[in-house]
Order: sequence, then C-alpha cells, then structure tokens
Amino acid sequence: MTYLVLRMLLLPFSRVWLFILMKLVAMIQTYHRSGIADVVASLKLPRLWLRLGVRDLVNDHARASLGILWPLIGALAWIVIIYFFIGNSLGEGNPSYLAYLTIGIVVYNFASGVLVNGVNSFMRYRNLILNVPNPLFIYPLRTLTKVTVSTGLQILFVIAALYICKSPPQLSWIWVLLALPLYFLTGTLLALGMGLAGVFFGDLRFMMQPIMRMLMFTTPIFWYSKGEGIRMLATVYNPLSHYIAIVREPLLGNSFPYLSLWVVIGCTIVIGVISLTLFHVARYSMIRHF
Amino acid sequence: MPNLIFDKASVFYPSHAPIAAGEQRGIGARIIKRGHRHSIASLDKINLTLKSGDRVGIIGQNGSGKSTLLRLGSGILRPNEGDVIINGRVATLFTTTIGMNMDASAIKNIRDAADLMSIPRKLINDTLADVIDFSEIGAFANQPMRTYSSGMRARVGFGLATSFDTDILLIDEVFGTGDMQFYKKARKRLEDKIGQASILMLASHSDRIISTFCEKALWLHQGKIRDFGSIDSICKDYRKFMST
Repeated sequence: MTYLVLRMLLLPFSRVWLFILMKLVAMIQTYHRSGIADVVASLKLPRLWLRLGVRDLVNDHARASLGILWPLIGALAWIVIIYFFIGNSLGEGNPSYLAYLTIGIVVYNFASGVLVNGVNSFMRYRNLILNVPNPLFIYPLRTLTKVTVSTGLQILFVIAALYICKSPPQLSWIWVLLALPLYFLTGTLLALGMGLAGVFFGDLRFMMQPIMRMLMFTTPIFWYSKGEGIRMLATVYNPLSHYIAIVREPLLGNSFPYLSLWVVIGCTIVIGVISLTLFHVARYSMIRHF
Repeated sequence: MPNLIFDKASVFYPSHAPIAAGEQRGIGARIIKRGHRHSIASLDKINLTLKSGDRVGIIGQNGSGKSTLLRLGSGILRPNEGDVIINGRVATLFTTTIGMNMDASAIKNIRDAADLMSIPRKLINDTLADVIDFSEIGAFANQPMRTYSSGMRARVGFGLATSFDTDILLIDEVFGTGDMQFYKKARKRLEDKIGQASILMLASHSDRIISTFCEKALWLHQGKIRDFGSIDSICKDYRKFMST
C-alpha cells in the first residue's frame, strides 16, 4: 500500500496515473449507466417517491379502521408500559426519564423501520422493477419516506413528553436540525444496502426482527449507561446508541455529545460507501436474480 | 432520431437450483455452464438495430427470451455481455397491472401509475380522462380494481401505457385478456400512437396480433435470433416448427 502511494506520488506520469486517468474517462463516458446516475435521476423525482412512500404506508393499513394511527398506538403502548412498569427502577428517579425514554423509543422505531422495511426495499417492488423502466434508487427512497412518515408522527409524543418533564425549548435543540439530515441519509443508504443484500440473501429479512429485538435491550433506550461493565460497552460499541445520543442529549438540555456525532458521521460514510458500491456493481445482477 | 441497438447482447440468469446443461425440450431456454456455475442463457449475442418506423413482432416458444429482449430494450435490464443502446423515450406495457393496488380505485391507480411513468404533472388530469374514456370503465372508475375483470384491467393498463407520446413502445403479451371490441379499439389507438411513436416491439404467441400491428417478425429460439424479416414466411415457419 505504502509502496503504491509513494509510487503514485513520485511518478506523476507513470502507468498508475495513466490507468487512473483512463478509468476516470471511462467513468465519465459511462456515467449515464453508473449507480450515481441512477441516484441523481431518482433524486430528481421527489414527487414520485414521496407520493408512493405515503401510499405504501396508507395501503399497509388500508383495511384497519384506525389506519396509520396503529404505529402511533404501538409506540404509545411501549412508552406507557415501560414507564409505568419498569420506569421506577430504570429511571433512577430522574425527572426527565419520560422524555429520555420517549426519544429513545422514537429513534429506535425509526431505525427498526429502516432495517426491517429496508431489507424488502427491492423485493417488495419486484413486479414494478421488472415492468416499468424507472431509476432503482427510488425504491429505498420510497421505503425511507414510508418509515419517516410513520415515525414522524411519533414526534408528537416527544413534544408531549418534553412538556410533561418541563423541559423548555433551548438553544441546544438546534443540534437536532443537524442530526435529522444524518438520520435521513443513513436511513436511505441503509435501506439501499439492506435492500440489495435482501435480494441475494433470503435469510436476511428473517434475521432483522430478532436483531432489532436484541438492539432494543442492548441500547440505552430505557436504561441509563453509567459507570463500567457490559452496559457501558454496549453503549460505546453500539452505533445506535450514538444515533440516539445526538438527538436525546441536546433535547434534554445536556451537553452535546461530539464523540457520538463523529461516530454517526463515520458510520454514515461507511454505510454510504458500502451501499453505493454494492448498488453500482450489483443492481442489474439483482434484477436477474429476482 | 430514435433507435434501438442490440450489439451482441447476452443475458444469463443465475440458476437457483442444480440443473443439467443443454437444451430443454419443450421450452425455449438453454442451460450453459459459465465458470463453475450453470446459468440460463436467456439471450445469446443478439445483434439487432431498430430504426424509426420499425414495427417488430417477436415470436418464440416460452422461455425463448422474448420478455428478456423487451426488458433489455426498455433499459430495465442490462446485458451481461455486449451492449444495448437506447435513443428515445421508452414506454412499456409488460403487464396490465403496473404496480396497481387492487384495493384502490382505477382513478387512484391511474394517478400513481402516471407518476411511475413520469407523465408530467400538468398532463395527469388529461391522462386520467383519456384512460377512463378509452377503457370505457365509466362508473367503475371509482370502484376498487379487485372488482374488475381481467379484460377491464387490461383496458386500463393498455390505455395508460399508450396515453402519452413515446418514441419506443414495448409490449409483451397483453392482448390475450381483451375481447374483440377491445382488440379493435386497441388496434386503432396503437395505429394512432405508432404515427407518433417511432419504434414498436411487440411479443406475442398470436400470428394475428403480430400481423395486425407489425411489419416485421423476429423469431427467437433458445435466446438466439432464428429468423428476422417478413411476417408471413416467419409465422409459417414457426407454425411448422411448433407442429413438429
């Protein structure tokens, strides 16, 4: 590796540079067929994926009289049960425990929605993909729209919990505006990568539910991470806990966790590179594999 | 000028279960060995150039590669080997239920499908009126589509696919479900559209449909072009081949 870097630096007109230059020219020539071109084309169709994402959510609950209120009811049930049954022991008498718990559950629901639905980002729309020529990246965006609307409604609970805990609006809340785009970015890229992997590995969609259940308990959602031991390890090495922290800490008026922000940015870059590379390389193989 | 070029285009589907290499009698598919794996050679080095004004009917056994050829032509699939160059706006009619939700009405489905087909927003209301008028579903337009017959769904799907101007129109076996009246209407509508659309590719098992809508025939056999040219002679040879 070092040799390659040195060689690239020391021999600017060497074959390595020529090779890179040729690759770049080839990439420009075939840009319209690249994964990035697909991503750009999809982003230019916001009305399509926003409308279809909302439609998916409505259709999923079309036969229920309470319709899309069901995800809200589910989240509320979680919050109420945990708060009243085990909140006393886990909340450690903290007056802002209700807000702490509610924010944790809402972010967890978003992550869970992205992972569980993301695995089916492409499989679910197989018939459509095979029959209508559209950019493929609209399908992860469609999945993300569905999950965002479903979870977004739960923000009402966060507002209510902050009000009950007498946590007044403060300047630190601005950090949330930075966190939300990172959530959407990670969510889309994760839905993309998981969707592709889900086509090739049929077991993946069955793995997601147990993994999310495990994450529910190994992430500081309803318990505090203090001191040392396994809880602390689970907090430090679990990316989800950092994703939660960059929203929860500023909302509760605590100091902003810069370390968590860097972990989140790092995770987003890693997920992005893996997912986009997979997408560029394997998207047509995926269609042949359907 | 719109055109569609298949340059030694080959498509191999992965085999999902162990399968012996060789020709499969009764179906048009061919199993080949690529590296360590067996693959289904759906299309094998297809060379074909279609220019403005070409109306080509594709015939062949089940599994001979008709649908795959159309998917390549639409850009949905890319070939494993070779290349496909598409110049022009493509519309497809591969199914009469383009991502349709059978619990929703035709109106809702037409709006969603119009989005999927990138029909400009300002034209969606016109498209809606046009499709409902063509499909003659009238008062049923507000009913859930699960209550429609397959023929009614075909009318809606066909009306939608042919509701806007396109350069390249690709159709795969959707006439079978319609009645005679629909067939006549579809023919008239397609003839009007062909005046605007430059290239038509239509896959069908029916000689009548091919000869009604197309000027040339392409016979696919085991992923290869067996013949390309006059409809009458190719259909005759194909019938003879099938009877043996």
